[in-house]
Amino acid sequence: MDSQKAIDHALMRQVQQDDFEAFEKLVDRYKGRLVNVITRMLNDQSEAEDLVQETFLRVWTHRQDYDFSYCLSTWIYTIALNLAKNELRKHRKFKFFNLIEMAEKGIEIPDPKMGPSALGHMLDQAITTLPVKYKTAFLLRDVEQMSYEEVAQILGVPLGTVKSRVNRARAVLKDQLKPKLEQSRALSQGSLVPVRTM
Amino acid sequence: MRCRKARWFLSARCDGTLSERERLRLEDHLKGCADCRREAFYFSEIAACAGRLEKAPVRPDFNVRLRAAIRRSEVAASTPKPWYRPTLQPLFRPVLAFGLLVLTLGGGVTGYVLTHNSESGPMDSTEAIVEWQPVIQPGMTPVGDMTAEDQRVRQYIDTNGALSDFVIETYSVEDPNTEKHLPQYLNPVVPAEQMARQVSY
Repeated sequence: MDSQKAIDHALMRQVQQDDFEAFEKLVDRYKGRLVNVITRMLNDQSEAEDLVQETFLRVWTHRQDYDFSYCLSTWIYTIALNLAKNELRKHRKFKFFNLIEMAEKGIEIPDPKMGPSALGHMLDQAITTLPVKYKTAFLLRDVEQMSYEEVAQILGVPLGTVKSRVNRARAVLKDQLKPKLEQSRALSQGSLVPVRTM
Repeated sequence: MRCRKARWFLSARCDGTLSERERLRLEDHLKGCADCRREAFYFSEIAACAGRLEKAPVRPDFNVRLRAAIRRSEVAASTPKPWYRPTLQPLFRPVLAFGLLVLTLGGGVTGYVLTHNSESGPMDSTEAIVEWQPVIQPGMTPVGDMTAEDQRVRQYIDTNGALSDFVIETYSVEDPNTEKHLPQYLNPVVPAEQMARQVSY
């Protein structure tokens, strides 16, 4: 982790000297992760890419303001998530719907008879139903595999609050995906065998 | 350890953040409780599955578009802003709108007041007195006796602010050339300095 931080800081020092190549290296290091998180925040990949571009534009514009006592990743994620939150607020994309509503609206839900790989798809859909603050904490912690300390820094909330939000998000997802999880558990114990239907 | 407390620890168990003592107590409980074991499986499955979620793809021209966006923003930053630009900033828009609204309403009210007053006659009482001075030409004589119908009542506000009435006396006079009777009005005796504003005819 420290080596990553050292690489980021070395690149950022070059960026502060207007080195655009170093900036592009930074972009390549972070764009995938940022697009991944923001796409799941906004449920719109194209909009997420635009927003990540705006994030990097701000990083370039304010490169001289960067404080080396902080992690670069924290700074970049904070900018991106603040932009995403503004976007959600602007378009009122806080949608609270459940899997039944999604089925009624024609959103694709995998057949529960499918194998355990379908769990990922269902989890992806279920994440969209989480309230924004739980979703953000869950995405950073469980999807991006960040430490609780990093998530707390990015979100600007105490460590305990992050733990509580992640716990709450997992509990909500667990309740939503219970049937699928049960099936997965049965499969892992060998009591069910997946059968491909014609 | 009871089930309720055990379930509180399940999320932390996924993260491996439990203390050794808590972990041992929890594992001990899970050995004997099938329900909590199932819940523990659900939690760990969700955490594990989240880490394996498919990554959202990034378009290959992302860097090209970013470079273009940076160039555009640098060009925009180096171009001097027009003097009126700050007034069009979002922060100033509500203030501008409010100012325009006040001006419009104020103009409307002023216009209405002016129009209303011009319809109801001259505002200056002195002018009214002069305008309404009786014109009795030589040779014209009052015809007939005065009746109530020959009188008109005006109202005015005196210099003390009180509403008062005065009477205009009407005379008919004969024009020697046309031999027609013409109405003439004799203004009442209200000293100009006493009349602040004439309000009706």
